[in-house]
Amino acid sequence: MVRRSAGRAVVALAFAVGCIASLRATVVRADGLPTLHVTALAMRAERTRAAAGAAFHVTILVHVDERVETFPTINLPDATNLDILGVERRTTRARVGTDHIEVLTVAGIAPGKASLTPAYVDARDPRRGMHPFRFSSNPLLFAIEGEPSRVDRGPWYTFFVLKLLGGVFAIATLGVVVTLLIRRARNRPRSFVTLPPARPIPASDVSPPLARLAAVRTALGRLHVSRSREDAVVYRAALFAHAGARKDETLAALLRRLEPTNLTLRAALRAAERAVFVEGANVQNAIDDALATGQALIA
Amino acid sequence: MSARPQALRAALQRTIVGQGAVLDQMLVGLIANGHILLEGPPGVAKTLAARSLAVAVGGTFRRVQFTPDLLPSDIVGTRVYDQRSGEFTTVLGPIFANIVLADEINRAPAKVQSALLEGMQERQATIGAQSHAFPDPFVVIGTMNPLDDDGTYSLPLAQRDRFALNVYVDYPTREEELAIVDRFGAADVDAVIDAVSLDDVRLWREEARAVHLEPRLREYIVDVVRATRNLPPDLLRYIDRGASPRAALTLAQTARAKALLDGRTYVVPDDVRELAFAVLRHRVAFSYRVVSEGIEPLELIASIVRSVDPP
Repeated sequence: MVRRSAGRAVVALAFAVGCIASLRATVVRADGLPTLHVTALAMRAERTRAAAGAAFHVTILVHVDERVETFPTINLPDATNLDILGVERRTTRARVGTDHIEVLTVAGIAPGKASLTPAYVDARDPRRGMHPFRFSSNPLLFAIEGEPSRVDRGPWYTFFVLKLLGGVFAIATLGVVVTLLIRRARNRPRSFVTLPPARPIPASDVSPPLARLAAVRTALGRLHVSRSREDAVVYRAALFAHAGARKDETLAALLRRLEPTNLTLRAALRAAERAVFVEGANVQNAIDDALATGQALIA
Repeated sequence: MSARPQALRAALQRTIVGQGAVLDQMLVGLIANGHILLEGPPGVAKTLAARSLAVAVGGTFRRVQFTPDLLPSDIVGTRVYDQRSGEFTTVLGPIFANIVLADEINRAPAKVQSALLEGMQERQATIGAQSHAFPDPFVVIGTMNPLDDDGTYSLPLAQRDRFALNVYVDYPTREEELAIVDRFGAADVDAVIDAVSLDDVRLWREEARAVHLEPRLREYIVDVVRATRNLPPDLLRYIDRGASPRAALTLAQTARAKALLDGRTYVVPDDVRELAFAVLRHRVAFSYRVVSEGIEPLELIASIVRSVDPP
């Protein structure tokens, strides 16, 4: 009985020592880790199908919140059916934190499937109580195809290509000749002939500002008759269009663009704004102001 | 005769050089009964602005420097055993003030942040079995330094949402910096004490609630906030989550306060456009691509706001 309990105690002691030793090992490993909060770790390939032997790039992008001068080692992915031909590293300081990019140059070995396991960074995360974490990227899968065969297109293909190139050359030459002829004709001395006086063109066709002012006049007339907020809205829209306001522009933005000396238009715009947004009890007073300033603008 | 908000603005401008938009937005926060998150590099008068505001309204002011070892009881208060009387007495924390400056709010761990933010929402704190109401007005001004983010605990979206406005305090212009050196180089400038009273502030809040907001503008506010959720395809990859309906509510309240501050009894589209950045900035969750591609979040917000035509 005593011997059995002694045996149990030895086993328990050995287990406890083992636990403490493994904990100590973890702590030691964690102490050697960099302090980083990794907010992005992604792996992207420029293509997912490639011919065997053809090189292409895989980019590993890491963003951390900390400012680091020398970025810690990224554990590169294990490659299956791929040769890693080279690695290029670049660390740049972002507005917040640091960006690190590693570009792998890889090539497929044999036709079939190929893959890259996730790349990872081991670090202590300050946002999560400085515990050691493994930040991993996504894995990647590729389809490796046989080398592209050269298609023998035959003599007809060569003939056709040569004809096509000849045609393009002929058209280009013709274009140059025509351009030269036109320029020569334009440079000829002009004959001095007295032209008849220009016909007057209707104002509405050439002067949109006048048309816009007419819209303001019409809207003002309607507001004068109805004295309603709805017509004040129409009048304000006409006035904004007359002042050249963009659709997304507010009054303050418009006034910043307008000439400071254009006091009549400024006053009319402010009064129209008030008539549209003022509370119900003061809307008639505001419409009076809008009418007065509008009349001054039209006059 | 009560003082007007413009008097408070003028008093603050006597102490703080430039930063007109920042002061206006702080006053808007005060009038709209909202909390303010000040963000900016160190040394741009964030703390001075908060202290000046408290002194100018004649209220109590407390500053809490947030550190990683701060405890919730350091902010809210605690019950202390009195050996002489043999009873527990309640010691109220610094949160019981009219204006509380939570300096470097992102340096404290989550437990302390949530204790403060719970108080901000409820406007009362429970110590032991008893609830204690905060004084009125009660405004928390949190500051964050975006440049020095080592050893910080960023505020989660749900907690940032408790702040009505996120005001960015930028470096002053050359002329303003010259004026700062002139004004503060020779001697310390005292803040204007009691420019207005706390009763004035309470009255302004009543007046702000009565400021007229046209139905067209209400629709505009809702459309602007919804635009952060219904994004065009080119912006979709930069934003993980849009602003909540609380943002629309806050935008309406702050627009009313802005109208009052400008001496109007009605809101105009410019009020909404001007405050949309401060209301939406901290409520939109940007994706990591914004950082990795070096995109300015304010530009994103600006393009979203501009995508909705004003009435």
